[in-house]
Amino acid sequence: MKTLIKLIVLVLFTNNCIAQNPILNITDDNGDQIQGAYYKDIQNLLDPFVGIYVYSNGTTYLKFEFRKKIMSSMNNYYFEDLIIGEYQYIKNGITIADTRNSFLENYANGGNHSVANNFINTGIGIGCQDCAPTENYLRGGLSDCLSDRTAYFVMRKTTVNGQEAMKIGITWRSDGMGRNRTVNEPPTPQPALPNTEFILIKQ
Amino acid sequence: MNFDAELLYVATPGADGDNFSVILKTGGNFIIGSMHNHSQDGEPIPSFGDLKWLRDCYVATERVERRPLIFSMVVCNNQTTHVTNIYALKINDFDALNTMVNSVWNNPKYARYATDEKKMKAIHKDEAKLYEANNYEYQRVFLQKYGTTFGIDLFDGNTSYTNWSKLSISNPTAPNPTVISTPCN
Repeated sequence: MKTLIKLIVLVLFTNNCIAQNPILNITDDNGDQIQGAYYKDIQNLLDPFVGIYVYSNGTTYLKFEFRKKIMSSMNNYYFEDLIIGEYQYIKNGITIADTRNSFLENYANGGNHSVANNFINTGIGIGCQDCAPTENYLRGGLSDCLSDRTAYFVMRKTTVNGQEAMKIGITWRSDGMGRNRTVNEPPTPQPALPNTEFILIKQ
Repeated sequence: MNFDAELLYVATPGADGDNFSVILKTGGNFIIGSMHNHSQDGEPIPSFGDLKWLRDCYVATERVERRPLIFSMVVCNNQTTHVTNIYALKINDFDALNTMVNSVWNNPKYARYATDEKKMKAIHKDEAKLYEANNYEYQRVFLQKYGTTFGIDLFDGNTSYTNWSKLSISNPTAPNPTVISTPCN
């Protein structure tokens, strides 16, 4: 029994050592990750995006909650810090989508959340043509809850009448890139959220 | 979809609930190609998804004699340079394309996604980071990553769209090879 316990401890210790080596800055992730590496948000660049943000105009209510997930696992191939997000969308009093329970899932791979984002861009670039030269924004993806579609998802901090806010941009991608769509299958359902931009106030 | 019929690159949103995304299907007797644009929030170059669609289209067609015609065209507008390109992808070696698409698709790091679309989203995120790390030199990086091993050719329409040029790189193993444009006619 003692031998078994020692063996288990040794395996756990060994795996842990491999899993976190080397520790790199999240901004050093060039898309070709080093196996076993941990891409850490060393400068806390993701922190300003954390929070609950709400858009409301009378008939439309959209609430996004963004959390920071530490050491999300890409199938233990590498690890990364992420902004994960879930949302509630109500239109004319009818709840179109509410994915917030997904936070209870505690996915090892944070990429399975509706929003999973850690691609920090600075200054004018794709998704932000009027960004200030030193402004950081996030460019990533949104997964739909009514279909398996995904969208480009841009997150940019801003202010509205002195209140902290976030501008999000949603652009749905072409459908049929991941799962092959054959001519005989029915159309994919429309996504829950529209193809547009929202400015949400931080709560 | 083009709700306002202005045929502008920057889309004008349609009625609430309508979304600008095209469904790229495969199979049957008639589908031998597709054409779509990459939106202003996407990378202005064909993606891995376009290569996978090319492979899927080749496999799914019921008219095998039409396989040599299969193509994927992508309209891209670089939001920084404001240059619009029409790119066309053609298969020159299906076995290579099939093998290499599978090698990316089955990479262990993408294994734990609930849906194929989420997996594709992760692959596209890695592509975006690669372009950012290489100063957004889209053509060079695309050709270095896919141009020599994926069994495909990349073509670029000229500014008046009356001719095509095949794009290649001077030395695939060099760190920063030059992109060579060879007119088709």
